[in-house]
Amino acid sequence: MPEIRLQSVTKIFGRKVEAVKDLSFIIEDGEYVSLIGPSGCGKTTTLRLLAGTILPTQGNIYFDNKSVENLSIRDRNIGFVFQHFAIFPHLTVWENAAYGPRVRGRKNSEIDSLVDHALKAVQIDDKAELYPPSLSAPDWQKTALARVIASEAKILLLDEPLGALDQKIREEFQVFLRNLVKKEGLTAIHVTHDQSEALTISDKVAVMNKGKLVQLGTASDLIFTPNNIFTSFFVGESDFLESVVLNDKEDFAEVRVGQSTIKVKNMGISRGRRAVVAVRREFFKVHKYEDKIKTGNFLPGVVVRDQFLGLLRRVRVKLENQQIVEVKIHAKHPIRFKENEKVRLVIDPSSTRCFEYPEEGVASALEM
Amino acid sequence: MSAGEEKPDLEVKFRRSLLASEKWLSKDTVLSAGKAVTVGIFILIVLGPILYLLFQIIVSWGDINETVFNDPILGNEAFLSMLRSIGLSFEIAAIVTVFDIVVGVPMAWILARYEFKGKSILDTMVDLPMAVPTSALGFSVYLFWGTNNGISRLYNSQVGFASQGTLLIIFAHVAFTFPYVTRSIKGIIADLDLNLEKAGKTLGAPPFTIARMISLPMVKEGLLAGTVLAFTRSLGETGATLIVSGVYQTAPVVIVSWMKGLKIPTTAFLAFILIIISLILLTFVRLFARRVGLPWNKVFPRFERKLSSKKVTRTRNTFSIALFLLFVFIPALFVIVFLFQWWGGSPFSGEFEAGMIYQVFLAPDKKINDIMTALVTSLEIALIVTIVNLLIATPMALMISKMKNNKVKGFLDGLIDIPLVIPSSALGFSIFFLWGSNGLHILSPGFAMIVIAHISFTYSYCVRPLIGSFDSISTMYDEAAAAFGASKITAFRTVTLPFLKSGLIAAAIMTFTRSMSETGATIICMGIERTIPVLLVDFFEASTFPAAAFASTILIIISFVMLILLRLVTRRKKDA
Repeated sequence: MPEIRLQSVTKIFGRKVEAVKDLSFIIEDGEYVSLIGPSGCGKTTTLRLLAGTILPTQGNIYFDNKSVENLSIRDRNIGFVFQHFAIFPHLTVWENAAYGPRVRGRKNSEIDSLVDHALKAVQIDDKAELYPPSLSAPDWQKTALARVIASEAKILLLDEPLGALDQKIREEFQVFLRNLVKKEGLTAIHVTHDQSEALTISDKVAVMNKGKLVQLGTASDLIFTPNNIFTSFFVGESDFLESVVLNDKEDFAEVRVGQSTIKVKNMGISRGRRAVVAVRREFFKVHKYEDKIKTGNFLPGVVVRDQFLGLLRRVRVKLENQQIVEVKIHAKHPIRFKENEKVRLVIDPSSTRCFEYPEEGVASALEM
Repeated sequence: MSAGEEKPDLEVKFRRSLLASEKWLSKDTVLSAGKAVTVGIFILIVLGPILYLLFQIIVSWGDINETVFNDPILGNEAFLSMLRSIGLSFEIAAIVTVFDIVVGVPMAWILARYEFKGKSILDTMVDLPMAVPTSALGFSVYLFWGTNNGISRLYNSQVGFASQGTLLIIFAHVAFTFPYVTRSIKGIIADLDLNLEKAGKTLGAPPFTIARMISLPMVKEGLLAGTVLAFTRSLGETGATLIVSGVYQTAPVVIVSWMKGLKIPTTAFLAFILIIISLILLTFVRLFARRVGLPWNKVFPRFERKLSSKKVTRTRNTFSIALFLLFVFIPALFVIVFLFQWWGGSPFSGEFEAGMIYQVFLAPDKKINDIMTALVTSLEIALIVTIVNLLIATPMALMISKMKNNKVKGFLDGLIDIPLVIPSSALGFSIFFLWGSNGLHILSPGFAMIVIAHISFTYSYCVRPLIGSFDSISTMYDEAAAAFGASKITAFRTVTLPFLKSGLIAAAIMTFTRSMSETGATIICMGIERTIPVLLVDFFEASTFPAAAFASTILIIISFVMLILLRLVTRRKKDA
């Protein structure tokens, strides 16, 4: 059963284009992991390194403790699903599925049972004798998956596999794909640019940026307890408040933002240090300044704009320190804020994250 | 499917050994060896003869100096007549190319942009002259313009409109070069993004200005490629020119006639000059094609608005089609009319012995036997050439298509075009020179030498479209096959080849047609064998026109069938 391990893998294209830098992580047997990140972050390169279409410049890749980094794609026995499916148009669905065992020289009886199982598993056995050009995109996708299952590969690599499908079908397929992978006992690695897809479909999500792994964790880890400033920026949207830690003794640390002092989650940054407080935009509450509120944990500010976005509204607020933060509130929020109206942004300390102020500055830490 | 569960299954055994041998063939060392062989064959068949010719010119410069420049009797007359023939060739090629562009560009526009009844017929008509063997075509043009059977009947003249010479050569060359320009831009015009033109329209530009300043610059490369092809084809053509030239001989024809007179050193030198000129043209075009700008950013609003008016446009379209019919289509196929005129006797005197039936089937020399033998020879040669060429061109095309180093790729790509631009008589001569008694002394002129010559000049026709086919196959299929453990050769057989099928068939038909119709190189490399186009020239020189018309018609019918096949194959590919 496959466990995938990358150890300090680096891939340099040409002389100096570092697509992947010193990448290490472990994917456990039977896990479904998605790779997400901005374009050019190295997620597709990582997938190709695992597939063996490119070989690493440095580092090791292990499938079940067996080093494979020097094997070509032919000898790794992986299943690869392409964004545009790459099913062979001149072969029927059945023949497509039979391709893997055929070119590996399996016996006909074995091929028959492998293909029958695969076609049933993806529910396309009724179209076995049809040619791909007469089928629809979801059936192409199923054929591509059947081909992988029939090849008996235990590692499934998916490169934007649902990218070519319509939104509605894509959502159905996310469930279908996950169930299939679990039922067949595969270890799957799925590259996508669609965050919600990644968060829905996978056991764990790996966030990458600039060729490095930023965070590997479950969907709720990434959303509620990001352990770094880039994840809280990239997965969902957060505002970042520059601050100084005043008190680091209790569960909630006291920090100074501009003239105000607020309580935030204590993440072990010592007194006197500069910090960045990350707050997801949906987690702010906005009140008129004159409203009575029970908590003292707020930042005063002035509304710049209240903009309708559909299901939500976006309110831009200028804080005392001139920083502009964006807050998302429900579209049916009873108050419509006017320009230059004074407001208080109430912050729930338990939904904040507090990171060490990055040496290179917040902007460069978020650079993609 | 489940043939035998327990008993030894032959199919499985066969498949396993096939896979194993393909795996062996896919080893890097074996593949490298294959690449070396591919390049080696290319050098042997195409580059070798040319290089050997250049080498011999340098080595035996003394001989050449004596015969070409300092003949004891003629002085440098040989050189002067070379210059005259080359000058004439250039003059004709230039005039012909201008006609092709002036009529061919509007024609391409009509075929790409208008929808009308009979469009596909007009489309086939435009392509037809390219498929018709030039000797048949030249003969047909000669009958139409140069004898009292053709155009001169319209005004009751006893002689033809033009006698053999420069004008008739131009007429003949216009007929067979015409398709090149139209074909090379028609597809591009059809694929242009119409929004760009609409944008031009919203900004107030008249259609003519839009076509000139927006659309044409985008078809520039295609236009240039077509122009160069038309120019070099005119410069290097032999078959038709032999028939219509009379005493005004173009350079390729001079090669043939000197070769017949066995003036080897002078012929070698002329072939050398022609090859050098063609190579310079090719290099120039490949290096500068992209940089040539279509000048004239100046706009003449009133004039161009007038040019864009419905009336002018309609007149222009009518003129293009009329000129095409008068100068290209009718002369090219007039020979068929002639055949029926002279079917059972002379249309003038009624004399039975002058007619086709007597000359071909009844006369004591039984020309039908010659024709059938020549036809079989032609078909045999074309078949062998096609098969060999597919075998040697496919790996070459694959290699060029997959090549990562762009400089080497561009260089090889350029080398592939060489046989396309060199006059086939010059290429044929250099093959005769290398393989025959003046060089390796392996072959004497005859069947085998014709085959080699044909492989050589059809090579580009085979490789070029195949490169396109390979380029159009997405690499993901290869990767998919590899992911399932298929070796490179297995992937090629099971995945690439099926994609390539229509491309291969198209390349095969092109090669076959070109081989069937070639004259210049064949005359030089043949012994006693005759191919159909050469036999046609013989008949013409013996003034047995009805027999020549019969042979021409057979050739035209074969070419027409090939053209239709080609269209079916390429169309099916587009639909898929």
